[in-house]
Amino acid sequence: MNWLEMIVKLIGAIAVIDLMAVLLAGTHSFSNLANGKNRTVRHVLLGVTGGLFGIYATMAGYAMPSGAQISIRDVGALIGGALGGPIGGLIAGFMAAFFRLFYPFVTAGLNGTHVESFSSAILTGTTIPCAISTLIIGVASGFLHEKFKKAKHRGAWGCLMGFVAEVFHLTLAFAYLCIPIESIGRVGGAAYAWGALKELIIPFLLSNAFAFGILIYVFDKMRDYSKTETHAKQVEGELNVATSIQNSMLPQIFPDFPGRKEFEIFASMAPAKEVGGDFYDFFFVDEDHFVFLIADVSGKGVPAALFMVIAKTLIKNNLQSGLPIGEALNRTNQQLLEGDEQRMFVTAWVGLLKLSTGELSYVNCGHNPPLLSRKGLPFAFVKDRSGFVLAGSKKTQYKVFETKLNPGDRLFLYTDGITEAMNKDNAQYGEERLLNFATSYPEGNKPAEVIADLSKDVKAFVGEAVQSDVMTMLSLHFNGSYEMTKLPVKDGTFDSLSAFLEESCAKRGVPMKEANAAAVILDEIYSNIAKYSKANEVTFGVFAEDGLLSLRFVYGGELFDITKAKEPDVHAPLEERGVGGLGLYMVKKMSDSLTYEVKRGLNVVTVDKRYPKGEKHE
Amino acid sequence: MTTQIVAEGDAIRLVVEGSVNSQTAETFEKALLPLVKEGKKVVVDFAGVDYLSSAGLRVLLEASNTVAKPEDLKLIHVSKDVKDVFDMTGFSDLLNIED
Repeated sequence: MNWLEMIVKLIGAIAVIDLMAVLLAGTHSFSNLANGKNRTVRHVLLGVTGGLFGIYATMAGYAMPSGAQISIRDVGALIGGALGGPIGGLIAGFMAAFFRLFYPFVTAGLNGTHVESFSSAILTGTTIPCAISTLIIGVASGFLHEKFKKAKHRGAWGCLMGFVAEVFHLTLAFAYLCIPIESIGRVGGAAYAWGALKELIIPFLLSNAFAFGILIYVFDKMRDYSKTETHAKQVEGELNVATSIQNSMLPQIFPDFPGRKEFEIFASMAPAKEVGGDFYDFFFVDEDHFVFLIADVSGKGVPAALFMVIAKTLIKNNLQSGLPIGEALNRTNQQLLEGDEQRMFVTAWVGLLKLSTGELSYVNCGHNPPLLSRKGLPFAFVKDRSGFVLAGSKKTQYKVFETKLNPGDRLFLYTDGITEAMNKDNAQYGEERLLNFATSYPEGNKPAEVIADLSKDVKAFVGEAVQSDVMTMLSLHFNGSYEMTKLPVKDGTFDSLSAFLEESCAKRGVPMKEANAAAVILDEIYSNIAKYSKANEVTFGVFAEDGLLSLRFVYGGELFDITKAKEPDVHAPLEERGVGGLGLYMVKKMSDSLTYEVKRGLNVVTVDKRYPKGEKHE
Repeated sequence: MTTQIVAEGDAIRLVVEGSVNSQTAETFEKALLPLVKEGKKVVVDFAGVDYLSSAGLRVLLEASNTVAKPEDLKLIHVSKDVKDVFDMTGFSDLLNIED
C-alpha cells in the first residue's frame, strides 16, 4: 500500500472538510440559521451538512488493497450528531451510511468496471460494518449533543469522540471480517481480519480524531468571532447614536440670534473615533446677558458623554435661574459631586457678557486658557484661573474675573483636543503653534472662518495620524453695544428719541445721509408704535459699528408684525392715493433689512442700514 | 422745524427749515394749506430741510390735491436725500420739483 498517498488523501479530506466548516460558520446566513432560534431547522441543517461532509469524506477516502476503506466519513456523522442532536445525527449518519453502502457501485461506475452482483459488491470488504458504524456513530453522538453543547474545551472532547467512534468502527469491522463468507470466498477468522486491518488502525484513529477535534475547535472560534463581531457592531452603532445625540444637544444653527449686532459667534465640535465629553454652549440669560462656554469632561466613551449631558444641563439651569456666574458654578460643582461615583470631572471656561456695555464676567474652572485679542492688538492667552475643575473638590469657591470687551475684540475658546492634537511623530500642536496661528490670522475674518481655518491648520499638522481627541472650539467677536434708552410712549418722546439718535450717530461717526435716513426710519416706526400698538413704553437702541447702523425698538402692547403691513401703490395717480402704509414702505426702501420678532412677549423691530466707513459726520 | 412766508411778486415763497416729520407736519400743514386754498402760487423752498418723513409727504399730497393748477405748487432747492424719498415713493412724478 502507498502510505504517502493515503496520508495526502486523508489530510486533503480533513483540510477540505474543516475549511468548509469554517466557511459555513463564517457565512452570516448559515451561522444565523445554525445559531438560530428554530431548533429543528438548526438540527436538520447541521444533519444535512454533516451528511454531505460524510459523503465527500467517503469519496476522498483511500481504498486499502484488502478492500477496506479508510476515510474520515464518521466526522460527518459526528458533526450531525454532536452539533445537531439525535435528529442531526440520524440524518447525517443515514446519508453517509447509505452512500457508503452503495459506494462500491459508485466507484465501479466511475471506473467503468462491471459490478458482478449486488450481494458480492455489498459483502466485499467492510462496506456493511462501515455503513452500520457510521449510522450508529451519528445517532449515538446525537444523544451526547446536550452534554457536548455545554462542554468546555470542545476541541479536545471532539478529538476524544472521534477516537472512541473509530475504536467502535474498527471493532465492528474486525468482528465482521472474522465471519467467513463463502459466496465471496472469504475465509474469515481473527488472523484474516487482523491482517486486513492492522495497517490502517493508527491512521484511521488519528485522522478521524484530529479531523473532528480541529473542526469543532475552528467552528467554535468562528462562532465566537462572529458573536464578537456582531457585538462590536452593536457597540459601534450605539456609540454613533451617542455621538449624534451629543451633537444634537449643542446649539447648531448659526447665526443663532438674528437681529443681534453686538456679537458674532461660531462653535464646532469635530468628534474623534470615539464619543467624548467635550461640549460648548451659548444662550441668553435675559435680553442683555449672553452666556458662552466650552468644557471638557475627563475620560471618553459613554460615561463621559453622559456626564457631559449632566454638566451642560446643570450649568445652563443654574445660570438661567439668575444666579450670579460664580454662584452658578459653585452650585454646579456641588451638584456634580453629589452623583459623581465615577470620579469624573469637568474643565470649563464660562463667560457672561453684558451686551449693552461689553462687560464680561468669566470663570475658568481648570480649563485651557482662551485667546483674547483687543482690537488692533495681537492675541494673548487669558491665563486667569478661578479654581479647581468642576466636580473636583467640595471646597472649591470660584473666583469671578471681570473685563470689558470693546468693539472689535475677539475671543477664542478651545479644548485640549486642539493643543494636544498629535502628528505621527508624536509632537503636539501646542499652545505656541495656536498662538502663532491666531496672531497671523486676518482680523476681519468671521468666527466661522476662524474655526474652519484653524481646523484645517490642525488637520494639516496632524497629517496622517489618527485624530485622537475631540476638537472643540468657539469663537466670539464683539462688535459693540446698542446704546439704549427707555421712555414712555407720550407726547415729546419722539423729540427725545430723535435727539438721542442724532447724538448717537454723531458720536459714532455715522455720515449725515444715513443719519437723516435713520431719522426718517425712527419717525415712521415710532409713529406706528404710538398710533397702533397701545404700548406704554418703548425701548430704543442705536447700534453703529464698523459700517453698520442698526435701530431697535422693543415695545409691548398688541403684537403685530409691522413687516406684514400692506404696501401702498406708489404708482397710482396722486389724487387716488392715501398715505396708509407709506411710512413702513419707506422704512423698507431706506434700510437694508427690517425684521420683526416677538421676544418675551414684546414686539422687537430691528432696522439695519449699512453706511460707508471713514466718512465724517458733518 | 420752522416756516417763513416771503412774498415774491404774485407768488409766495414758503421757506421751510429743519425736519418735516410726524411732530412737525402739523405746523407745515398749517403754513402750506391756507396758501394753496387761497389760490396763491406757492413755491416751497426746501433748502433748509434735512429730512422728510411720510407725515410730510401726506401734507404735500393734500396740498397737491387742493391746488387748482398743478403749476401753482412748486418745490425748490430739494436736497438729494429728500429727492430720494420723493423718487422712492413715486412723489417725484406727481410733484412739481425744481432743483
